[in-house]
Amino acid sequence: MVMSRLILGIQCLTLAGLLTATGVAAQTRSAASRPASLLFVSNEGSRDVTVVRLPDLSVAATIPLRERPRGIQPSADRRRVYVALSDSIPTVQSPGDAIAVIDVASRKVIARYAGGTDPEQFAVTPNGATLYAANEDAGTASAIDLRTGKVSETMAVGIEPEGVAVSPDGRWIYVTAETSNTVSVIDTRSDRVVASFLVDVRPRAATFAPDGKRAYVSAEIGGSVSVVDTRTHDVITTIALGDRSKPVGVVTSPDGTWLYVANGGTNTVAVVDAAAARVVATIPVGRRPWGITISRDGARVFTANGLSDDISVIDTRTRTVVATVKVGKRPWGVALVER
Amino acid sequence: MSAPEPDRRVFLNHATRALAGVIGTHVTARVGGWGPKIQAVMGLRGGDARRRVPAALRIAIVDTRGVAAGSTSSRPLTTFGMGVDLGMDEAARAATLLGGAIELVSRVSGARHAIGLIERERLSVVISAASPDETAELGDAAARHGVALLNASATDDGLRNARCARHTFHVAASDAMRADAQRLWSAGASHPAPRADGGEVVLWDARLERFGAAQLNARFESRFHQPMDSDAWAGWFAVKVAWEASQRAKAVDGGAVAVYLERDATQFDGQKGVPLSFRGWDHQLRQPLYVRERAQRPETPSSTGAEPDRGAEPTPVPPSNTEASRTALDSLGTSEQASTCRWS
Repeated sequence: MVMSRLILGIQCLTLAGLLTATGVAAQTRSAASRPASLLFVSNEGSRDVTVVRLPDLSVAATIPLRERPRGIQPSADRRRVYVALSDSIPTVQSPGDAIAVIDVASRKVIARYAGGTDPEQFAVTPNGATLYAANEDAGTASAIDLRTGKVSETMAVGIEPEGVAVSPDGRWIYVTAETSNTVSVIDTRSDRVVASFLVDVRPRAATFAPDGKRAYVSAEIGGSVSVVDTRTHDVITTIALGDRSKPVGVVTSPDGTWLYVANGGTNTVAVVDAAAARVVATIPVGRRPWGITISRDGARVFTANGLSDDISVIDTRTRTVVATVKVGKRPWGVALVER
Repeated sequence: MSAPEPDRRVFLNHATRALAGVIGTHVTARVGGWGPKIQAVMGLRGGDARRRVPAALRIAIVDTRGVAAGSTSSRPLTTFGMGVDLGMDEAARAATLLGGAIELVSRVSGARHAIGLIERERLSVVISAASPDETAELGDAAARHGVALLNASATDDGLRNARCARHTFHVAASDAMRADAQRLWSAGASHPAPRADGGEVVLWDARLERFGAAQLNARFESRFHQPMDSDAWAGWFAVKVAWEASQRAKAVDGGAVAVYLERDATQFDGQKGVPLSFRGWDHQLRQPLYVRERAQRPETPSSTGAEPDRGAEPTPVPPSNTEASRTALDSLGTSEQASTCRWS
């Protein structure tokens, strides 16, 4: 099984290397003169970040970390990648709990910011000024000023906070909480929690539609995605993904037409018609996909597969996996820096 | 013992009122609209009408091995009582976000005392750690007064069969479930090698890590400085279930809570990685159990403060890699066909 996956991965790699006409490949118009687009994968098992070059999908670097990395996101200017690090001592803040700053050009950790206790997921505001992180064990969210690297505000949210999403206009931060089944809404103008609402059971990730009118929250035990009206901060409908789906990561296509949901329980990505609020396709990927991201043109979706130690590359037009790339142990999150 | 006709009317009356709040609102429920902003009410107190806050979920705890409210006993809080306290804290915290309130009306050590509270105190939910006979008595009183009873400790199969009661829900695993778990484990169905020594079946173990178990264990241990055990998990989960049912049903009366718990679509997360739900035929909680070898107990932290060696996680039954569906979870305990529980 492992061997066949490996072979498949190598075949796909070769195949992907030959693909030059569409998707991510098409964006790299003059690869020789421009830096390559890069995919950064956080590996919580091997405690490192794998850097994958696009479009050839070769591993460009492995960045070692002392602590366990999970949430990973590019900076607004795409010159840096932030990665949330946790030590092995829950509930206590220590120097091991941090947001590491990776310089994209040198592929080195150039700074460590305080991230509150046990930071897991986070979001960076579109203006690049502030990073909001969920502190899982403390039940708080921290606002980190990216100019100073200091925590500027700490806000009480639900119990076991996890997913963090920022609205496209930068006004709202949604923080999910797994045990209290809640989403807390932070107004970034005041850095206060201004509303909270219930979603389905064990919410994990959240994301906003590109127009900001809707947000989507995955519920791992509920097996669903809750659709939120962001004007009222209320759930308006729930999309069932199947009892065993265990959805975690969720992204939207750039035009907001499709949702792509990483179903950790069934090793698939569900393609959801956002307007119709129903699943229209299911794409088999690697084992236990959690982290997910999408290219700017919407042509490629990437998943971090925690139990098969690889990433899957999906062609969204054919809705098939076109490549599989081995990374570190227990990949958790994936961030795309496009050039 | 089947419930007499009037009990059924009580249940149905509560049910009718509750249904308006339950049907179709499972995920659209926003519980900010419970009248004025109400602060969560915590602490041990009972019978003080002046301080009674309306629209609170009113909970009483029966712990026959524990201390009663106001008692001067030097007996320490049981782990069940600790789990309840953690659950109350977390529910109160959620109440500050969502509105609503949860109130621990009283903590008593005898079923007789608790029945008095059920009769007088407009309780919503009773959570009990009591003997089978006391649990049956509490169940009858709960049914008469439209209160939901969550049984966190009695394993007796009779309570799920001939003595079943409509308002009683069992968080504790039944003897039949425990026997099935041990049988499956001994046969090697969820273990690489067959076992002859007979493992210990538990609801919870402080070494569990997956599915948010590590976070729950850490919260418990940081507060009580000891490992979370099965009784603690049952106490914590019972409060969580009561609070969530009330939130989702947008109601605080026990009948509404019972209706919500009984719904087929209702499910909860207990940090066990699969949706947990109550069986319609006997109100037993469907849940994975864990089997550990007899010598495999987690140790309490040593006096030197050194981290105890806790060994490997115990074995889940059914195995977690089956992505335990309801069908898999129903392989533990009495099936619908074999159940002798009849709701009157």
